[in-house]
Amino acid sequence: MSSISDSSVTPWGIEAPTYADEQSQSLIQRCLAGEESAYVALYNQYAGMIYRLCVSLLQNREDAEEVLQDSFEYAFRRLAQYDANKSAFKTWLYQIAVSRCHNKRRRKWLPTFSLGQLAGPELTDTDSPTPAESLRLTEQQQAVWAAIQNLSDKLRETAVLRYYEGFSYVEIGQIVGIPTKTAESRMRLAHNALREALAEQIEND
Amino acid sequence: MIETNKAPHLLTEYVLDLLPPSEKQRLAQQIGADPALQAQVQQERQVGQLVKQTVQQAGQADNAQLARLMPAVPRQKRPFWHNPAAQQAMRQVAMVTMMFILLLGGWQWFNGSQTAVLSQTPTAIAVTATMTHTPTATQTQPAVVETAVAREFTHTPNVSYTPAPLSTPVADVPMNTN
Repeated sequence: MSSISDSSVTPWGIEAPTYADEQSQSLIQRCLAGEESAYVALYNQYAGMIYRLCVSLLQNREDAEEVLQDSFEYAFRRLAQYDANKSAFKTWLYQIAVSRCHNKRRRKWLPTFSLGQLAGPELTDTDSPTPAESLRLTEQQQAVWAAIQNLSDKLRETAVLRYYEGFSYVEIGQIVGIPTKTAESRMRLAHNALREALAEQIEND
Repeated sequence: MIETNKAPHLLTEYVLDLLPPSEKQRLAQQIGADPALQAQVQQERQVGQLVKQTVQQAGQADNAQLARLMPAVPRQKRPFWHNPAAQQAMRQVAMVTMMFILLLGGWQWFNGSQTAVLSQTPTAIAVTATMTHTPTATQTQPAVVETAVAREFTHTPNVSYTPAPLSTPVADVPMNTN
């Protein structure tokens, strides 16, 4: 898998994953040899992508920052355990990040639920920006963001991994820990739900 | 041609890259020949493009922000032999071992082969000496006693004489026969 090197463009204009794993592999070797600059290079190469994934899945910048740090800390500590024969480094890293996003959502659910019950609608600050506004999105993007957030967690992560990151269904299966057929079926559902939600935006374009 | 009621479903499958290669190729030819289908495919693709643009914008982070979030580089656990103190200890052990080997080699060279060296140790000599002398002394004693018994009964006529044993080469004592 890691030997795939030809980049292809998907129908929605996303470059399919090009496993520049020779470069990653060399960086990993340097990291394992104790070279600090290699860790920085490895982080710079993937941090942006992981951060965007976390923001999309968690809908919150602070949580995304926390998960980003946590994911890289874990990846750096377990770097020696990464097996290039099993998956590309990027897939391995995304697997760690998605797993941490799941944990974050699970941990956050209970306190958020109970505090929401206590606060009530009258205590909501109407002047504070909505999550979509705080992300500096245009009106159209806010509608798309809302449509993404209305998807279930499972459909959202599949859609983001496919549309934004351009992962294949096999890779999505590896990252999320589901069979390839399940990834395909989730993608169909996510696509249909988004198309319905974005019908207005699509027609306007 | 694609059946009208199946078209949206097939186009979704086509855009999501879920069709088998042969069917995908066949459909691509039909889409190429039909502007209405091309418009529908474009709409299907737009979903992915909108999601991509939005996620890109929502997850924007400047380099300084990302750099601030980088976790500490883990300290590598170096093998103990990389420790200078361990290296010095290992050098000393190696030197002592080398000296021992040299001494043993010198000892062997001085005494000939390894077998000779082992057989000539003081312990081996002491054991050999004990084993050699003890049986010689014990064998001498009975010869003298038996001779004396034979001589006590010389004046008794009913006693048949037992011939005296021959003297052993070791206990070469002259016999008194009167």
